[in-house]
Amino acid sequence: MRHLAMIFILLLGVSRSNLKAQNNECEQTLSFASAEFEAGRFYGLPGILKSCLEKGFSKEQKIRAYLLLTQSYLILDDPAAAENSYLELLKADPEYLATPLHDPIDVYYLSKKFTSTAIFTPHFHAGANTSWPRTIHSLSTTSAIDQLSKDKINKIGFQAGADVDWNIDERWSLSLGAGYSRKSFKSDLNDNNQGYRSTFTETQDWIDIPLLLKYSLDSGKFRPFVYAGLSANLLVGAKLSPEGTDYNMDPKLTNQQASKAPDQSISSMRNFFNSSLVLGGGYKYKVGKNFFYFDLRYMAGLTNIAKNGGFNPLLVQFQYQSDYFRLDNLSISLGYVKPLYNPRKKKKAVAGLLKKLGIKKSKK
Amino acid sequence: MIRWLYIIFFAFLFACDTASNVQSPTKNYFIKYFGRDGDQTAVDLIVSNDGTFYVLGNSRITPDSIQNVYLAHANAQGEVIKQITYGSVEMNARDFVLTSDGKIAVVANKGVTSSNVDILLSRFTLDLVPIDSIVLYAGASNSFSEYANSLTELNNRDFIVEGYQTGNLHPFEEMHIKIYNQGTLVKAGPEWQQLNGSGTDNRGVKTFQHNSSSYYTFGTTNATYQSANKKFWAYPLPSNGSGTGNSDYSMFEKAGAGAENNLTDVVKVSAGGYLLVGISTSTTYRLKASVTNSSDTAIVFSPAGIFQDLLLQDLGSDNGRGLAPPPFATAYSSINNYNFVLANTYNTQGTSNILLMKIYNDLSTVWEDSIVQFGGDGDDTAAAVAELPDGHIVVLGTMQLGNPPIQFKIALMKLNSSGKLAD
Repeated sequence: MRHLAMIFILLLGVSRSNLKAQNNECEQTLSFASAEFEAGRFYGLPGILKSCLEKGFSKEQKIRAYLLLTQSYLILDDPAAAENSYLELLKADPEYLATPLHDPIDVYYLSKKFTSTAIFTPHFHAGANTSWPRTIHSLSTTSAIDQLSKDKINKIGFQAGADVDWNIDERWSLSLGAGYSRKSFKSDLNDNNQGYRSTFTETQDWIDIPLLLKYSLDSGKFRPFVYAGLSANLLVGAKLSPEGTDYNMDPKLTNQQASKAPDQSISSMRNFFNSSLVLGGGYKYKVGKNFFYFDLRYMAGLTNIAKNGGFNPLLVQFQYQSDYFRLDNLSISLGYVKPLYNPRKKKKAVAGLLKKLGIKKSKK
Repeated sequence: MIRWLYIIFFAFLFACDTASNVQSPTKNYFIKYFGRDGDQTAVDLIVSNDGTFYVLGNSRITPDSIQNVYLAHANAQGEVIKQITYGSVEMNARDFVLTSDGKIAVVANKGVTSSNVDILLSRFTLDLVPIDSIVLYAGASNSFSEYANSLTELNNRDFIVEGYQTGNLHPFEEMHIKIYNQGTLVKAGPEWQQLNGSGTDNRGVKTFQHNSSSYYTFGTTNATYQSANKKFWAYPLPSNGSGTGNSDYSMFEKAGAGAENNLTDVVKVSAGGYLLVGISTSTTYRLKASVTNSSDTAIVFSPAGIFQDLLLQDLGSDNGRGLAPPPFATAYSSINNYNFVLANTYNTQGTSNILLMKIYNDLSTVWEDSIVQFGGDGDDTAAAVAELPDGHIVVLGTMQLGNPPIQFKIALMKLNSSGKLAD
């Protein structure tokens, strides 16, 4: 056993020393190639760098080597080869950004023809939310409505989901998502005519499917983004926790009679298909090639989510009748983005998309 | 394709549901509870020509307080416009009418826990402001207890209170009292303070004006006819209100023969004749209904004039109809040649539910399911039913609210033409 361990350590040592030797060798090759470039001998550079490019260059060395080749081909007036070299550079470092300050101007202009932006960017998020019912028609079983007060109280829910951005260009994207959310809110009713107070806590389970148009900045450590769109919202379940107190018009509440019941499903009183308008924004924070992000989203319900439940026990047990209402929701999420980089030559993506969307007419 | 995407997008964007494009359900159906703190029980309902509702009931704030008469005016959505209570002693509201001179006249039993119960007839404006009232009893001296069951406005705007007196010749004596409407309310003379019935238990339910010279009185009697059981009972009154010689004129006995058959309501059928409903009691309770085939005097008050006389449980699988404390049924005849029967029935928990039936004039059921029930775990009882001109049905009852059931409240329900709380 001890022998095996010694052999392993020995092999590891040999391998590392070989790697170091190769690195040193390739560094020398790269230095030699740079000297040749400075001397104006461009034709021999691909041959000099070939073996190290195939095996041996570190990522940083590869970038330098492909940059050298790109410059060389541009000087040799071989744009196709220059573009290939630059593409290889982007494959080595998809986030490489040529600038006039640090790169030759012709490389900078060449770089404008390329992008590494991911076509699809998946991201995952989870967080907390709170909801506001927006009353369309206030309904109740009390006949003396001028003596009825209703208060809506926010409750905290949670959500988790995944989205895929289809990146139209570096800044614009279309995002399609799917997520589960639990939304909750409470209604307090006080019927001063009867001397009856009730509390209804509703908990809803939703599948949200947002389709968003997103704009985000594409450089910097912190990258803000904003978006707007529509969401299909499927209300897959709704439960009600009812409580009632007949306080017998006693201000000291010494003669109360309470009504209680376990949570009850009220899915039959809710519409399954709903929709909402979505507005939001946040910040992405770059960590390596990936991002963490913070997202603040407001979903303004468009559709009435309540429907008639017929004659049901809640009418008699708790005098419960649901308002007709839309549901607005504010959520905060933390997420993780893993861009699927795809270095490629640019197409006229926005113009193409605009044409596809019919905003810009094709030339005939 | 792209055009469709735009259409879908804008359809979503402008598909926001608001009060202007989503109709409030209260126009088509609702359930509304009436009454202040304490227990309120429903008695009767009036649907006004303007679509508003008048609700009559009783109200007891605490178990040791007296029971008042409760009167409310509600809009077409069942929301209270005004509600009042009245009564300085224990009261029991029985019936009310919207008079032809635009008043609300209410008849109630007064002092019902005392040894000498009287009848209080009160009038109110349509805004429920008291106008006047009169205390009624039969005879020259107020020695016995009188109980009203119903109030009828006559063609000349006078009133007849129908009910019974206790403790006089028989334990229960049918009684009708006429009240002249001479600006103020004036009790008629002795000929219109009649007691009738040869049985020991004779109770008047309702008197109708047949024409300018005769009236029909309906009730329950246990006078001997075939057997000495309680039976539906009817007889005509002459123009002076004398009941002499006609006390046991007709006793309907086709169905429920030999059982205790208590008439609880009778209405004029729009096609002619009368629909009588009540509870038939032997070892079990049954909902009994009879309909006469004509309102002609010679026919309606003979057994041959009875078009149908049925125990309505025979029409369906539910044998429990009418079974609930207290046994009660009421009826309504619509202008569309339908009739509605509202009654009490037991639910699976053994408490009372409200039962609604829609029947043709031959007493066969209109609805496929025969009946619709309303109620919870407590005792929920029937009071009144009506049909609106557009076919919606309005039901008034008492519901015991809470979990466990605690307080009684008056419940007003507007239902669709199938008796459902739905569009």
